[in-house]
Amino acid sequence: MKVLELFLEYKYYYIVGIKITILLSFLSLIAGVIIGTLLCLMKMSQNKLLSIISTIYIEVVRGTPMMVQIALVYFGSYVITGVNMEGFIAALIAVSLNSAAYVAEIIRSGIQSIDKGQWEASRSLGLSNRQTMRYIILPQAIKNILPALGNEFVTLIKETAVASTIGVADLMYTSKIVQSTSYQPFNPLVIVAIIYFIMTFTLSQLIGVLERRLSHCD
Amino acid sequence: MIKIENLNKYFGGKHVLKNINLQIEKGEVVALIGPSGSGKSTLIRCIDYLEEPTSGNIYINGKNIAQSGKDIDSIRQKIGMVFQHFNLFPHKTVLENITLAPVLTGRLTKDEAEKKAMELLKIMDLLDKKDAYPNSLSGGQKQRIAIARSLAMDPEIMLFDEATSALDPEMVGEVLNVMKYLAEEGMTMIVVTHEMAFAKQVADRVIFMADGEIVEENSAVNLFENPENPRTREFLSKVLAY
Repeated sequence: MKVLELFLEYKYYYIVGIKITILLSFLSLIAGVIIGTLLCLMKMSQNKLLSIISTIYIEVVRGTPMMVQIALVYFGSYVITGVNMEGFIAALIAVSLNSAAYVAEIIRSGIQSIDKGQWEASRSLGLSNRQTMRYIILPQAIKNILPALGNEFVTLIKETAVASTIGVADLMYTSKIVQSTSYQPFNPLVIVAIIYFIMTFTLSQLIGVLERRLSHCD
Repeated sequence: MIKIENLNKYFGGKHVLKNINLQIEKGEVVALIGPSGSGKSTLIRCIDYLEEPTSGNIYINGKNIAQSGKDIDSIRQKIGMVFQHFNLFPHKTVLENITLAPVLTGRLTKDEAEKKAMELLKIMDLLDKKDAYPNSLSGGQKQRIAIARSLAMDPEIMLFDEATSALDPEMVGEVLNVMKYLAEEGMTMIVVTHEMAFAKQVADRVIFMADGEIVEENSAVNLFENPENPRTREFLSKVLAY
């Protein structure tokens, strides 16, 4: 029970870390979904330029490590503006922009998974492109993409751990502090692993409930 | 009511509609028959602008749909389309499927649309299914709901694209009965079909298409009993052999 004792001893550190990790995950998730939806609309738009910009963005973000991206935002902001950006803000921007690329691809595949006949039926009734998207395609697409989107959210929570590399006092950072103050290399890591698992497991269960609720019409 | 002039359609290098000219009057029931791949479906899909013609003009009540731009939605509201695979909205109940378009396009309020939907469901003999989801219905029921969904917009023209081809044989009759009822009510209809007996009985005019061309058109009785073109004769001898 050494692990539990250690946790109780340093619980205030851990609680601060948990709060920051949850806040960072939550804000990035929302920003990621909003930006991701925009990227998806850009990629699927008739406008070639918008589509190309979005494609390049998605490919570059998916093809470079998160750790590099977060460092680029953190140090790059200093090089470009001359002002030191707060670590948390830099992490928030980097994680959101990273997540957005994945979310865009998930939404796009969800929309494209809907049978072409749904478009045709809706348009033939005289509904506009926009109405068709909003009332016919998206509600069905969301149901299809929920599992993949849930995966992405779980990944996002885990990836926020990279924020510790630029000094954001998240859960991962807490484990480093506890390691050095308690002189224990192993147990503090076990604790964060357990906490990360509890967070991701809760989230995936919640998404499971939502999936079942949306499947009522099958 | 519908006027088609020199309509051509290519899919890639394939010439699927060759210089089609056709005029359909209000209240007319026209059956389009012909072998698979003859362009029948493409032709009626062009009328609803689900396929963009490569060249030529299609006028609906004098309006050229190729140049309609944003007006295409309001033209489509007057044209009902029934698909081979129903294309009901699976995330909406039967009632919602029928009321969705009239409400969203602002033609009816929610109450009016529901009242209208109930009347249509009564005609279709499916009142008890109003709160069901499409996936729980049989093919024949789905197709009748799809017809009701189109009728809820008060269309002036109804297009049927092989509406009974995906149905189990015992369900074909219930859908044809509804179509017959519509024809008797004076609806302008274009029906792509493989049901020759239905075409003969219900259609005012039958058009035989092959290889993207209109080969022969005539009244139902004349076309079936005295086909003039050898290709028509060959086709009819095959489909009417049994």
